[in-house]
Amino acid sequence: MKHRFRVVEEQDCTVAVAIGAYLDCEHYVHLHRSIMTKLSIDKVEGRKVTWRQGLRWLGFLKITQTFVMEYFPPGHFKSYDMKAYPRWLPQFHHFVKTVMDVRYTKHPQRDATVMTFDCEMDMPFFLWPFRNVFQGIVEKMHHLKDQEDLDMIHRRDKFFGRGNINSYLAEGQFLLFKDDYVAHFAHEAQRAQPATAAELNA
Amino acid sequence: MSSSNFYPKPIPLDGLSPTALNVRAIGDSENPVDVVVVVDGGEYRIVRDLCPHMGAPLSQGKLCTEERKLSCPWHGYEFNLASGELMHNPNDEIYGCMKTLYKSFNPAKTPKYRLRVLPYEVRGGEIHVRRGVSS
Ligand code: FES
Ligand SMILES: [Fe+2]
Repeated sequence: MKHRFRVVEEQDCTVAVAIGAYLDCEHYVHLHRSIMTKLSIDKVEGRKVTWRQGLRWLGFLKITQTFVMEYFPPGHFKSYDMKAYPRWLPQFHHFVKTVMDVRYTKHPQRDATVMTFDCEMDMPFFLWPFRNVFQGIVEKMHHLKDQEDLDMIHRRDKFFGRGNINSYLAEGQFLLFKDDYVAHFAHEAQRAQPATAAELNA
Repeated sequence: MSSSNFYPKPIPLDGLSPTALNVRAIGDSENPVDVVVVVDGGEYRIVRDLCPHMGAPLSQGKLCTEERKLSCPWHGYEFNLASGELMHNPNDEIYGCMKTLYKSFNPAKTPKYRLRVLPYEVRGGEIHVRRGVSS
């Protein structure tokens, strides 16, 4: 039985910044440490990455899962094939098949980004009565992660100027799928000063 | 020594925790400057509350007093508080397998990120933080 829900949020930043922050994977396990306990990569095939990730649900329940994240440039990310790790450990993913989809698009009227989060949970009938509880947990974690990202984005905008993606474009900065990011957003490089935190710190 | 060589607001020694990242404002309303003060034995390590990587508030990072190490809250880079040097990027272990995949990323071009450890003088129960080059 499939339970689907959608969260749509207007984010006060440019699309290039929102996507840059998403691809700036070095922050995942540090900025989001309240929900993510560990992270490693099992496999990379083109625009598909298989992650192994430790999560903290509701602040205390620790689980480890693997999943595939697939990127459709410039602003669409799909997460699927979520499995328990180790496989034999009885866990949520043995019963519920979850697919998540995040899209960043330009707001049609304002200089802002629209983030659309879609989630589909395919579950057996005996878990159906709990679908809203599962939805609540997923929404809460998603919201917390988004808020942490937005705090980071707004602080960077404050110091380096709105829409400044220089540090994401910099040759020495690693990003997931960096060539795609550069191909889509290099034209938004700014001449803003100070361009980087290192300059501001000097 | 002219007082303009120092930031306008001195830091009272009272109230500095020896185990925490103490954040203090030392600028004025026109040029606000926040710093992180770490008590290190009889000395103080003072750095801007601004990571040289992408600008995170270092005051929200993690302090290891034994190793004099400060980990940034955004990407986890670990800095030596005595020298300011970047000691370790913990993400290298996670993403090492991906670092040759993209033409637009060149690790040789990654800057040598460094905290500027600010010089200071202690007078009358207060730390006066000097502007200018690192000690
Ligand atoms: S902002 Fe500090 S390590 Fe990235
Ligand atoms: Fe994030």
